[in-house]
Amino acid sequence: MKKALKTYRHVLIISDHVHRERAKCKQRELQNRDRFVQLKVISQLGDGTVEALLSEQPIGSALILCGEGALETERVAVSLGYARNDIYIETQQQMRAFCSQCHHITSLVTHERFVCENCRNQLEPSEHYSSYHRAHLAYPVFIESDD
Amino acid sequence: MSSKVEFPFPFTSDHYEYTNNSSPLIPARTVTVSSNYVEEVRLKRKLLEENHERCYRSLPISLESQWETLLLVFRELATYEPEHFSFKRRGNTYVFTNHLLQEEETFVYRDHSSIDFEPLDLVGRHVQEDLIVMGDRHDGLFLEAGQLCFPSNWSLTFVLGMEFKTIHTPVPAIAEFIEKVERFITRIRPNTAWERKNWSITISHKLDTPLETYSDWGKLRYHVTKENAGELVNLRVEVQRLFRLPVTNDILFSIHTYLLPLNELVANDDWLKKFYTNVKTLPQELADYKGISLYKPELLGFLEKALKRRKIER
Amino acid sequence: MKDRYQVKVEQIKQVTPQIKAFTLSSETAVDPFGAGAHLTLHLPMGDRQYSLINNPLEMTNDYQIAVKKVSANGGSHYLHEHLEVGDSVLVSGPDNYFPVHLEAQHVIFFAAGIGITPFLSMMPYLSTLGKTFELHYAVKNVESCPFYEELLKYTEQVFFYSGSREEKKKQVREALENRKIGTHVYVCGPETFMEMVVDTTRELRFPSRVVHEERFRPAAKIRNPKPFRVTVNGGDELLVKENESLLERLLDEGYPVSYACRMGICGSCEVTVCGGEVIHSDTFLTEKEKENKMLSCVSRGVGEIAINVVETNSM
Ligand code: HEM
Ligand code: FES
Ligand SMILES: [Zn+2]
Repeated sequence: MKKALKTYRHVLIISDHVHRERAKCKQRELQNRDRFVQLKVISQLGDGTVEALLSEQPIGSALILCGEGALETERVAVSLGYARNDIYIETQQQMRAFCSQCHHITSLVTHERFVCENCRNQLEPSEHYSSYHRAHLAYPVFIESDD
Repeated sequence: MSSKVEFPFPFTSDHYEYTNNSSPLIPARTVTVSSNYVEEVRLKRKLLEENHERCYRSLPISLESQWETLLLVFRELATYEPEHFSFKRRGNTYVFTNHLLQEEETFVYRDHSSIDFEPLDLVGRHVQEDLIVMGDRHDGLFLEAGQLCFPSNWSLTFVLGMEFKTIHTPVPAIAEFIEKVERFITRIRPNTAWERKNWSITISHKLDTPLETYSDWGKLRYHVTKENAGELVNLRVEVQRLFRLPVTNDILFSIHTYLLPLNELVANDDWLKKFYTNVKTLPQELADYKGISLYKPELLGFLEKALKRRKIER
Repeated sequence: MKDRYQVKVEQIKQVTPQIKAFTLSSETAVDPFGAGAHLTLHLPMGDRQYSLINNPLEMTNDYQIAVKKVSANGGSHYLHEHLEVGDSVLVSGPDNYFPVHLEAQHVIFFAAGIGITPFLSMMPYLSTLGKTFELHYAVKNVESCPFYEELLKYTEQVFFYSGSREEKKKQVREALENRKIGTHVYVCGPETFMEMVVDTTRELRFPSRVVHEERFRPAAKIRNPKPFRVTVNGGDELLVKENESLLERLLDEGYPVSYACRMGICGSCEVTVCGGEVIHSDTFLTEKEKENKMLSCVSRGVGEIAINVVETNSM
C-alpha cells in the first residue's frame, strides 16, 4: 500500500523539460513548513545523470518522477535502495500494454482490442499489471477460423 | 523406468480447489532426474539456444543467489545420483561431471569470468526443472531471475521484477489465498524444501507452452474430439518445490513438468475415476482459466467412454 | 534445516575471561548458513541458541559459536566448564531469524556486549560482497571487550561506545542522523539497548522495514498437552485426548479439514474459534487472526472450546 505523499518529510521530484510545469505545480502543492520538496529538471529522464542525486537523498524520502523514461529512473532508484512503494510516477501517458507475443509495449487510449505495432498480432489488454514494466499484459485474441 | 510409473498423479480427492497443498520434503531436494532426462535437457538447451531472451531473464541483484543455486544443485545431484553425477572441489575451483551427458563444468566459485553463462543459466542446463529465484527483499518477494523453458502459458519476461502476489493476478479468485501463501513462504526455514503439485491440461505432448507462442499451440484446443482425446490430450502436472537458500535467504522455486497422455492415464482405474470427477466438478472459472472449457464436453465424453469400457461406476 | 544431529568440538578458544569460542564440525557435510544465523544446541539443561560467527562464504564444514558465561548453572556454564575438544554435541539448525538484506547500500550495526556475535558473520560476509558497513559497539571497557582483536581488522568502520546511558543515547542519535536512502540498520543486544536504537530510528523516520531486530522466533511447542472438549458447528461434542491433535480428532470424525504440514507453518488446517480459550502454537496466524482462528494441527483448547469447521476449507 502506498502512503499518502503528505506523510513524507522529504520529497524529490525529477522532471523532464516537457513536464516541468506539472512538476512545479506538484512541488507547490506539497511544499510546507515541515516538508522539504526539491525539484530537479533534466533534459531527459533515464539518461543516467540522476544516480548521484538519487543516492544522496535522506532515508525515508519519497521520489516523484515526471516524464517519459521514468521507468529506467525508477529501476535505478530501486537498485539504490528505494522501496518501490516510495516511488511515484506522474505521466500523461495512457495505459501501456505489454505484447505477450513479442514483448513490445504499445501506449493505448482505451482498454479495447488493438493490433501490436511490432508483431501485428491482435491483442486484448488485461488486468494483469506489472509495476516493473508499468504495463498491462495483452493476450492474443483468437480467431477461430484460423488454422 | 516407464514414464507412467514415475508420473506424479495430483488428485487426492474427487474434487479440486485451490489450497495450500504444500508439504515438507525430507530430505530437502530441489530437483529430480526422471527417465526422460537426456531428451528433456536436450530440448531445454535447444530452446535456450533459439530463444534465449524468452527462456532466461535475470536482474543483477540475483547473482549471489544464482551462485548459491549452482552450488546447491550440483551438490544435490552428486549426493543423490552419484552414478550419474560427480562434484569435486579443489580449493575454490569446482568440477562438476555429468556422466549422463559426458560433460564437465569447471568453475571458480563466485568468479563470473570462470563460466560462459550466468550461474542459474548454467546449472539449469543440467536439470529438467525450470528454476526461478525469488528475492526476499525488505519490501516484498520479487521474481529476480529465471530459466523457464516449459511454462504453462505464462511469460517470464513479463513477470520479471514482479512481486509474488501480483504475479498471480490472472488466477481466478486467488487474492486472499495468495496472501496467505506469501506469508507461508516467508516462514520457510533455511535448507528446507516444500513440495506441491499443480495440474493443467496440454493439447499435444508439448512441454514448451509459453505465452509467447500461444497462437501456435493454443489453437489445438479447437481440435479435441471424443475420438482423438486419448492421444491428443495430456494431463500436465508441475511438481513445484520451494527451497530457502540459506546464505542469501532468497527462495529457489523449481518446477518439474510431467505430461501423461490420456490413453495411458485411463489404463489406471483409480486415476481415471479421480481425473473424471475432478474435471466434471471443476468450477467454471477454473476451467476457463486452465483453458479446458473449450473442449470440456469432448474430454468428458472420452472419459465416460473409457469408464464404461472398464465397467467403472461413475 | 536438519533435525537433531551430532557435531564434534574441534577447537575451543578463550576469547576473553568470560567468553569462549567453540568450533564444531562433522565428518559428513554440514549445511550452509547465512550471516546472522544461529545453531540450536541441545544441552542437558535445555535448548540454547547461539549465533554462528564464521563467514558463510568461507565456511569449511565447521560452525563457530561464541558463548559468554552468564550464570553458575545455565547452558553457558556447562559449555565453559564441561565441554572439551573431542566431545560430541547434539545440535539442530542452522536457522536464521536475522538475515542480511542484499539490497542494502550501506549497513549500520548496533551491538551491545555479547550482542556482537551475529555481526561477526555479517561483517566478513559484507566485506566479501564488497558492501560498506559500520559497527557501533557499546561495551563496558574497550580493550577487554569481546573480539577486540577481531574488530581491529575494521578500525575505520568500528565505533566504540563506553560512556553512560545518556552519552550512549546521544551517540546513537548522532550515528543515525543524516543517513542516506538505502541504509539498513541491524540491532542486537540487551532489550533496553535494542529499544533505544529502534526508538531513535522511529524518531528519525527510518522506514521500519529497514530496521532489523531478531525477528519472529518459532512458537514454543506446547509442553504437557492436556485433553480438551470441542463443540463443532454448534452440534457435535468431541474430546481431544492429550496425545492427539484437534486436527487428528476432526479428521477421524470425518470433518473435511484440509492440512499439509502438520507443523503450524502452512496455515491449511485453520478453523474458526467461536468460544473458549486457545493456546496458539503456530508461526502462521497474525495476532489479529488469533482472535477468532486457530490452526488445528498444533494449537489446543483449554478446558472447553467451540469451533466452526466450514464445509470446504480452502484458504
Ligand atoms: C514462489 C514461487 C512462485 C511463482 C514464481 C509462481 C508463479 C506462478 C505463475 C507465473 C502462475 C501463472 C499465472 C498466469 O496465469 O499468468 C501461477 C499460477 C498459480 N500459482 Fe503460483 N507461483 C509460485 C508459488 C506458488 C505457491 C507456493 C502456490 C500455492 C501454495 C501457488 C499457487 C498458484 C495457483 C493455485 C496457480 C493457478 C494454477 C492453475 O490453476 O493452473 N503458486 N503461479
Ligand atoms: S497443517 Fe499446516 S498449519 Fe496445520
Ligand atoms: Zn507484439
